[in-house]
Amino acid sequence: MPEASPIKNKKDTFYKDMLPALILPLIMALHFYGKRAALVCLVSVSAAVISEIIGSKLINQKLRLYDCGSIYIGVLLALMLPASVRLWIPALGSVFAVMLVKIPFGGIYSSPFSCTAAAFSFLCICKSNELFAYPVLKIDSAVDAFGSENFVAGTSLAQSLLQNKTHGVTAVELINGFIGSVAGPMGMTSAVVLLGLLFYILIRRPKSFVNAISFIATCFIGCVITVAVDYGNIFELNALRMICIRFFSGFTLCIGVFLITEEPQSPEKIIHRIIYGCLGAVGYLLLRHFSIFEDAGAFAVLGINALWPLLEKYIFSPHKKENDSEVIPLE
Amino acid sequence: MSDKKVSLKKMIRVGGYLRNPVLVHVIGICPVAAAATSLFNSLVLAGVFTVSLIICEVLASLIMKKMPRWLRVSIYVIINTGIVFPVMYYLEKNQSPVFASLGIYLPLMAMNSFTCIHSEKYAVKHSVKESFFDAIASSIGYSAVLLLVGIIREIVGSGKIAGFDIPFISGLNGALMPFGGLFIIGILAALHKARVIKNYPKQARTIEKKFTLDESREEEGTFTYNLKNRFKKNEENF
Repeated sequence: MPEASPIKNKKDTFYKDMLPALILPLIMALHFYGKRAALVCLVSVSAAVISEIIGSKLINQKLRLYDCGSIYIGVLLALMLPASVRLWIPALGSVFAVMLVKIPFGGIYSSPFSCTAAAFSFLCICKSNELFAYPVLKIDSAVDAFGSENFVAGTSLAQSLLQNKTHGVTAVELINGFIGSVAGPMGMTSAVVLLGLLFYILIRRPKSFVNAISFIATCFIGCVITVAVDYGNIFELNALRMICIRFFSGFTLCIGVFLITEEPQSPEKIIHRIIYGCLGAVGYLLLRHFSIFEDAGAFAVLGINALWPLLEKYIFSPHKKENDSEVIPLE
Repeated sequence: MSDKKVSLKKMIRVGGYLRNPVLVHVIGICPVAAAATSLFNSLVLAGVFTVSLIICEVLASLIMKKMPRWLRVSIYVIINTGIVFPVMYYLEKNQSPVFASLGIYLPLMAMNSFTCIHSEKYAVKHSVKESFFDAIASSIGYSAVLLLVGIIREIVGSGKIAGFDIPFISGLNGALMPFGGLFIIGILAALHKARVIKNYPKQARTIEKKFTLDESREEEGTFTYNLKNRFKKNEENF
C-alpha cells in the first residue's frame, strides 16, 4: 500500500483515546446551556449510532460500534453547534457523517476525510444562518430554540471581529471569552479547557500532539502577523487584546485539538505532521479572511485532508516516485 | 445483430435499466449533477437530450457509416447545436425561469459526450431500426435518472415539488449545489447496483464493462495503444 494512501491501521484506537477528551467540553456545555446541551448531544449521538447500525446492515458489513467512531462524531458535532440549534440539524449532520463519509469508505479509519469536519461543512452550506446564530448566555434559564419567539442571539468573539466591534471588548469580557462564558458553539468556547486538553493529547497521543501544536502555533503566528500589519506595534494594549481575540475566537482551538489531530488522515512522519498542521492553519487563516461564512475552519480541514495525500506522493516522498518509475519503465 | 432479434422491451431493460448510462457507465453526468435542480429543469434537459440522441443515432446509422470518424463527431455537435439553440431561443424569448436556472448547462448539451459515444459505439455499426431502439432505450434510462434526481433535489433543496411548497420540509441549499447532485447520483447508483445484483445476478457480472469507443480502432502509435502496450510489457518483465 503506498504511503500516501489515507487508509491506515484499522486497529488504531484514536477515537477511543480521544473520547474522554470530549468530557470536559461536554461538562462546560452542560454548565452553560443546561438540558438543551444534553438534548442536542443525545440527538446527535443517537442519530450517529442508529445510522451506523442501519448503514452496516444495508451493506452487510460487520457493525463497528466498538471503534467509538460514531459516538465521537455525534458528541464532537454537537459540541461544535450552538445550543439553540433545532434538533433535526445535529441529527442530519450525524447521518451525513456516518452514512456518506464514514461507511462508504469502509469505516472511520479508512475515510480520507474527517467525518465531523465533513458534516459541519455540509451543515454550514445548508443552514449557515442557524449554525452561526449563537444564543445569548443565560445561566440557570432554558435556552430557546432558533426561530422561536423568545430566541435572543448573542454576539460571539468571531462575530465581534467580523463586525469590527472588538475595540469595545473589555478585559473582563476577554477573560469571560477565555473561560468560555461567551456566546458561541456550546462546547468549544472555553480556551482554558481546550488548551488543557493539549496536555491530555500530549500524554495519550504524542504523535497527534505534533499536529495540534503545529496548527495552533501557526495560527498564533498568523494572528500576530495580521495584528502587526494592522497596528504596527504589537506590544500596545489594544494590539495585545486584538491578538487574543483573533486567536481565541472561532474554531481555532477546536480544530487544533480535535479535527487536525484525527489519526486516519494524518501523515506518518513527525516532520510531515508539522507541515500538515502548518498548512492546515494557513488554509484556515486564509478562509477566515475570504470565506463567506463566519468560520470556515471545517472546510480548511477537508482541504488539507484532500491535499495531503497528493503532497505526500509527489513532493514529500520522491523515493516512492523512483520506485514507481521502476515498475512502469518509460519507453 | 439482425433485425429479427431486436426487441424494444429487451433493449429498454438492458440499455435503459441494467446498463443505465448515468448510474452504471457514468456518462453525461454534468447536466444531471449541476443543472437538474428541479422537475421543470429536468424535463427540459430530458426533452432536449432525447430528441438530439434519436436524431444523431438515426442519422449516424443512415448516412454516416462511410464517413471518417473526425467528420462524424463534428456532425453530431452540429446536429445537437441545431436542436439546442431553438429551445434556448424559445425559453429566452418567453423569459422562462428555467432558462435562467439552467444557465450554461443547456448550451453545453450541444457538446454532450453521451450522444457522440452512443452514436460512435452503436449507431454506425447497426441498422437504423436498432439504432432508433437504442436511442429510445438510452433516452428512457437517462431521462428517468434526470427526472428522479431533479425531483429529489427540488424536494430536499427547495422544499417544493413542481414549484408547489411542501409543508414541514425545510430546504437544504446543499442539495441544489453540484456536490449535492453527485451525492444523490452516488446513492442512486448504489441502490441500482444492489437491486441489479439481487434481481439479475448473471448480468450483474458484465454490466460494468466500460462503454468506450471501439477498441479495435486503436491504431499503433496512439496514446492509449502505447499505454496498454507499456503495461503489457511491464507485466511480462515482472
